[in-house]
Amino acid sequence: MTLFSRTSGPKPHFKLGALAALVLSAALSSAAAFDLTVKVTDEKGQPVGDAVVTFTPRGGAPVVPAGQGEIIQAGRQFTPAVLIVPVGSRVKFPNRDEVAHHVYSFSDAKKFDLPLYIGETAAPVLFDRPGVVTLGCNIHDWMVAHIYVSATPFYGLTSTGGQASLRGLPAGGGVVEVWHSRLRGRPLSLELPPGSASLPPVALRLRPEFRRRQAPAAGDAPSGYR
Amino acid sequence: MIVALAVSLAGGQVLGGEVPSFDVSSGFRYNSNLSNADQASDVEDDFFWRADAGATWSRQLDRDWRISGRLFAGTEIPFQYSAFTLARVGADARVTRKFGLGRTAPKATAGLAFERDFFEDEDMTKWLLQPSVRYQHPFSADWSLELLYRFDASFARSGLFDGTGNEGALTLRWDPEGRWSFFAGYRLRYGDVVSWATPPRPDLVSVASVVESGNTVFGRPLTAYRLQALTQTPLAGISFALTPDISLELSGEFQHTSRSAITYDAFLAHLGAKAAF
Repeated sequence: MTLFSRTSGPKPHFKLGALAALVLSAALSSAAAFDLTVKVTDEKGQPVGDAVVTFTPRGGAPVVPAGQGEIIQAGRQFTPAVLIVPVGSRVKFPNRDEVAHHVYSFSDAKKFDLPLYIGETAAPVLFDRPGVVTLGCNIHDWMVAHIYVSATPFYGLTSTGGQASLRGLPAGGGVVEVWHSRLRGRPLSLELPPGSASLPPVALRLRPEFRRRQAPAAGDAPSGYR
Repeated sequence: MIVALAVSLAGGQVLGGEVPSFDVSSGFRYNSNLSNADQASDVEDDFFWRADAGATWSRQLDRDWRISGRLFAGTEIPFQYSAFTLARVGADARVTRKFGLGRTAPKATAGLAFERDFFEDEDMTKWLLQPSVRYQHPFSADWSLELLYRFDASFARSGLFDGTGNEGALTLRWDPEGRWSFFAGYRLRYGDVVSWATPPRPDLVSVASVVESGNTVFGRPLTAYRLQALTQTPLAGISFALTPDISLELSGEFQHTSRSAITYDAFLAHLGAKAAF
């Protein structure tokens, strides 16, 4: 049984010790488990990628072993743009560019900054509170990424086709939450009744997708004669 | 300052400084009163095609301080009055201090720009020196206010086109996530201007520091006057990003210039494309 759900899109960055997974699997396999596939769209019905889908069982989420994650900086971008880690995980931020970056977060879930560095000199950062952490680079304003620190081990990230599969969910119902970095308002929360193993497509209200990278400043007076 | 910065930036490349970034722009602009004339019969307008390109080298010194140097070149081709055909090259050095972390941290920048302007009318050809101080204060990720002070000094072949000016500007920018961004502002400049008029103009002669009769840049003999005047300019613009690196921009400004009882107005519009990569 696969306890931790995965996206069907990008290569997962979270690595869990096999032993810990087995222990948790054994603990949870006493109840009849089921898989849940959630489709996420925008208001026009277009599939939405990089949406985080979580499931919290009715009786509360089991204790999650901490893990590790990684967001790299390459081509003056963060990759991946969205990373999900269980609470208590440590995340590394290797800089594979030839220019220095300065990673920071002002988010309530984790405030930190990693002053100018190149390579892998920055120590991993502990994410010990659940929530969304927005990352930026103090030098390159267009660089943005998000870390979703999950309080439940049941989560998934939607692929470019808008689908996330959560596997091995315990029976008895629970709450499904959907979050996206461009979501207008609070994360969408949906009740999954006991005995139910499917949800209709979830439509999100999103802000515009476009972000300027490094457009020149506008409005400067031209020189020339006066 | 520019030489010191160049040495520092060259060292920066070796020590892991930023890769250079490039910007290019091209477009059209219109000036409704190129002759800076206060009498309708002396007003001459023109359209220009312009193109500019630049390369910028930057180095982040620590969390708060950044230095950058830029080399640039450009041209302006008038549709009608060829004397104003311009080719320019220049260099710009800047030191930026950021007050805090992130996109919403205020920034202050001191800059010094040297520019050589080659006009088809060689009397206009000049060196231009522009030190400036700029303060950018974001109120949020979308809204920011910019204050600018700039001094300009021109050293031309002809004393008519020499001059200095002091300029202050306040610009409000709205740059929400999305393709559109907007700015509006107000600029105030006190300094030398050149105004063309049909003689006799004793009122202009009484305030002019240089008078040149028989100037033919507009195809007919006019008298050119260099005088100090106050120019007030409300301006606004809108920009649409085609890609994350390329944007179209439309802007306009209304210049009202006055000295004693002499006043003239000009409307300037610009439509162009900019790219940075």
